[in-house]
Amino acid sequence: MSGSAHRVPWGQKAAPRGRYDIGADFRAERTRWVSAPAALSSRVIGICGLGAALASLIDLAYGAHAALALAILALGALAVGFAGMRGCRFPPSIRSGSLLTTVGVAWLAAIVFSTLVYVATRATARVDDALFESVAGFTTTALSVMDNEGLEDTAKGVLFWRALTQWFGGFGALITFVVALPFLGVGDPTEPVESRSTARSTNLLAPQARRRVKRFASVYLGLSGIGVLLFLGGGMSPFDAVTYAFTTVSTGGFANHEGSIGFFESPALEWFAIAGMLLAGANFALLWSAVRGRTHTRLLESFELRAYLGLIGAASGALLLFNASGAGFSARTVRQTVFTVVSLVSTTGHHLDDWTAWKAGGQLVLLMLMGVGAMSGSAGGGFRILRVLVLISLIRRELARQVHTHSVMVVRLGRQVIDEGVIGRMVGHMVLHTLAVAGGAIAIAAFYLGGAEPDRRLLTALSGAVSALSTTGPALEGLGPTTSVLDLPAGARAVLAALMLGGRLAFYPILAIVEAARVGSRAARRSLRRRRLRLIRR
Amino acid sequence: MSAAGRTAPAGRSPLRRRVEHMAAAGVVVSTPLHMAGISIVLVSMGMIVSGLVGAITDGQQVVAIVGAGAATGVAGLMVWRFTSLPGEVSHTSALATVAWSWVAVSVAGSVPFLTTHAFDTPLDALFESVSGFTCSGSTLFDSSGLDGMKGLDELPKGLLFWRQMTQWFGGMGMVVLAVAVLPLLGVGGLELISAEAPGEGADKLAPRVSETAKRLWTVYGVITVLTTISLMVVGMNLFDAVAHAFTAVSTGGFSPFPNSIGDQSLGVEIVLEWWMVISAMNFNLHWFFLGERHFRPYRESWELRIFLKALLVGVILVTLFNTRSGMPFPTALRDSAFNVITLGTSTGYGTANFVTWSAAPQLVLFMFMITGAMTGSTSGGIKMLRVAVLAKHAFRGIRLARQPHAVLPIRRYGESIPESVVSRMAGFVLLYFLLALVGALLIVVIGLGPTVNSNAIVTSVGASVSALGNMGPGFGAAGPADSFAVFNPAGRVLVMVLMLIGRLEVFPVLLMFAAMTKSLRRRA
Repeated sequence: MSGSAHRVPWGQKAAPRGRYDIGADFRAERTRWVSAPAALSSRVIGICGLGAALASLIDLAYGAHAALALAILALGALAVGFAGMRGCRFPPSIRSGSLLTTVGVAWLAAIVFSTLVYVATRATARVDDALFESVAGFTTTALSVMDNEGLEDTAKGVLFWRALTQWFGGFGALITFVVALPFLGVGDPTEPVESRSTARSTNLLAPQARRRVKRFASVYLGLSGIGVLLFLGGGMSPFDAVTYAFTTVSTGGFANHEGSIGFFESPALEWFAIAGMLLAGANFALLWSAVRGRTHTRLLESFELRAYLGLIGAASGALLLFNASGAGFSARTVRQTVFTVVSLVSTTGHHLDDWTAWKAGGQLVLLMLMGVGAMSGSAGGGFRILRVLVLISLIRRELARQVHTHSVMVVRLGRQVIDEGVIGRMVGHMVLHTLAVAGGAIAIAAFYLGGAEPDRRLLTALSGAVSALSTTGPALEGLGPTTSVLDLPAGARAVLAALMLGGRLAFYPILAIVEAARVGSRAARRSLRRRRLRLIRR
Repeated sequence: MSAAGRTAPAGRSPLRRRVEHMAAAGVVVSTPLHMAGISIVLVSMGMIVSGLVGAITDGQQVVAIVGAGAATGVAGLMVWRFTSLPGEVSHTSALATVAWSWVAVSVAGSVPFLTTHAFDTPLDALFESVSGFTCSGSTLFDSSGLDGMKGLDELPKGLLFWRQMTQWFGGMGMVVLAVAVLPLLGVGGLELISAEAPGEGADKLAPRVSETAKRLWTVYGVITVLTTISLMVVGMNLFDAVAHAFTAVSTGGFSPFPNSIGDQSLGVEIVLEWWMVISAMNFNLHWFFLGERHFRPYRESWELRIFLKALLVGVILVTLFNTRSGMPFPTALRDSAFNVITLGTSTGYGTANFVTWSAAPQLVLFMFMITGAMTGSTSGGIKMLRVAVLAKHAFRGIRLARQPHAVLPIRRYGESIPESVVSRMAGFVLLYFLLALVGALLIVVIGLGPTVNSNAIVTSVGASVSALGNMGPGFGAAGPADSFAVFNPAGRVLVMVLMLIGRLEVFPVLLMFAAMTKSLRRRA
């Protein structure tokens, strides 16, 4: 499973003749299990255990409804984490395919643990609801089965855990994209192109990878800290400030109250939230450069950043025009429009007012914003603005090639030339994305058969699929910001959960797991057959 | 309308000498205009035929129709006489010619609608004509009488026949375009179905097109005749059989019946389903079959297998969804099969009003509206070949993700598909989606009439996709039981533009615009 070199049959000398004898080291470490998925998953569960412990403490402070359950689960998780750190080891190098499997398994482990939390604290009525909430948490999607149902009476520990899953998920997704999926071409655009090309194996402990992870971690923590301070300053209680900061900076969108940020009815808070979402959806490498005081020109040079801000501006302007009903542009309308646009582009999912009451043109614009997504290398999800820009350049190149058939043209983004291989993969990703939306929409609608208003359900299914895939959350019509996802049939919720996972992890890790399972079972059968033959021959 | 064998070799024919003399005398040398002139003349002959048919059947407004034919004929002759072809045809010029011819022919074809007072405004007449020549099948005639338009039963038979003929002509042009012209010019990755590399073929365009055209029109004619005969066998009279044969072979979808195929027998539906699928196949396959009398070309065609499998899966899914939402099984099967096939082949005949179906079957139909049928046929949409190639490319990407250095070309017929073709197909599909989105946005903002309220988004997205794919019916308020009269004039213009763009596989029309703006800038 790990592809390590220690495949030596039991009882035999490890070293080839005449070479150094690694037998001693090998035997000492034979007790440790070399498996990347197990190693990563156990550490991830350990971290979740820390989070659960924290949630338990907070719950004690606020009434101790769920503290015991949380504490027990935390202890279990911490135990697993310690066991993993002692008994499980990462291999020194790992193939890309195995890396994808590893990442996928780790995500699933975290989701399973979170499901246990919700079930044990009885926060959700059923197990599949708990699973849904966990998936929505770690994929930073703002769909919750706990909305509108006495949300504010839920134990504070559970609410904290919920926000924590999104916080972890946002960072986890960022790391996944930067470390495990660099070949998708969606990573740090300020990096030179060579380092983004495919590598046969990724050294997990390489200084380059670790430095990148540390930088992003500091940006993420910094943003979270700033978010907490701003929200505190805006008038939220410490608990609310922390949880809302968690769900804003991770572009998750969970809220402790029904009206999301609108509950507080404070313009200052709404602007702080806009700032938070805007930064969370921006490329973290750029933010790092900005904070370190390095060249402002680098910021301005970034095509993607310009497109990101331009898109937000243009969409806000267009929506203000569409929704202008003679009441003029009051500060409130502007604020609400900008909030909605930033929320959807950064794929957060916080909402202020109910956009299902907006004019059809405005809703279509919102749907398109959901489909675009945030910047690459940010905590946000979606199709990524960088990819959209590259694909638009591809269109331009193909149009030009139509006229000048024999010239060799490249696809440019600003001054940077995009490698053909990367473009090919982006096209492949777009196809997968489209197939997922199509299949997902049909699957959601399939649970919705019979009854009236097919058009409404059509729009719900289609927009729900788009929104879930981009990990935003709320969509149009039946999945609007003020409706509860519990109104949908359970099967439709399952489809949404699958789409959320696929969207957050860019499909590859999940598909890699499926492939690995298939290939693994085949290989296991083959090696078993070989071992039997060897016994027979002896 | 099509670059049919009018490019006579530079020999001693008196016509050619005349033309050269005129060119020397300062006549306009322009490929688009010349071709447009020829096309208009052909089309006017069709108008006269329709007028005669009208005279035979119900004798109403014959003079109006024949007069329209004569007038357009004269106009076309004038344009033909006073223009001539340049020595060489450039790549861009060929594409622009195609676009201009279609536009010119649509304008000419709208005249009978005006002279018979079927429409009040020229815009509406142009809409119906464009819908005809692009083989779309969206109509402004409203049989429910709600939107202030005339119903089909109030129109003279001659005009109805002309309406059917517009689609027949459109299909003829399209078939040559799809099989000969566009692959040679490498539009949207279609060079995959041609034996030559794109770009090199531009100078061989004319002779190659003329020989291909004769072949394809033979197949086209055979299918038309067979369809007519089989429709008469299941009970239609000659007029109706010919009328529906015209729009089935061109996968257009106009019908002289007010209720389209809704009141027809099961036999008629099955016959039409069969011929719609035949017309949506690559016409090269049919030509080889007629020549060799062997089924091998059909068996070997990768795209055909995918197309038929897609139709089968679609029928099964839609029937399943409809049965589970309460429809009795026989009706569900019959209606689902017909609607999946008619939309999957981009024809667009109407039976059941699928707008009242549940969301899931409607979404399946929507997917078919986007994908379309096979290349090299009269149908619209993205075409199954592109869908299949891009899907293979995507799944290959998944395997590459696990084994980054594997060399996995896409295989088809044992050869691999070059990256440049995949890239071109991707560019085409992306542009298609972009146009559909922009079209939907424009329609929903400025194109909807006052009667559309709650399902505005569904109506506009449906109309945009339907127009781009030359399907016919839309969704929401523009479904099979309604007409496109729910759109205001601005919306109708948008739908028309989308129909033209979609018919010509996007690039020619865009290049036409680009060439226009460039020449304007040069003159200014």
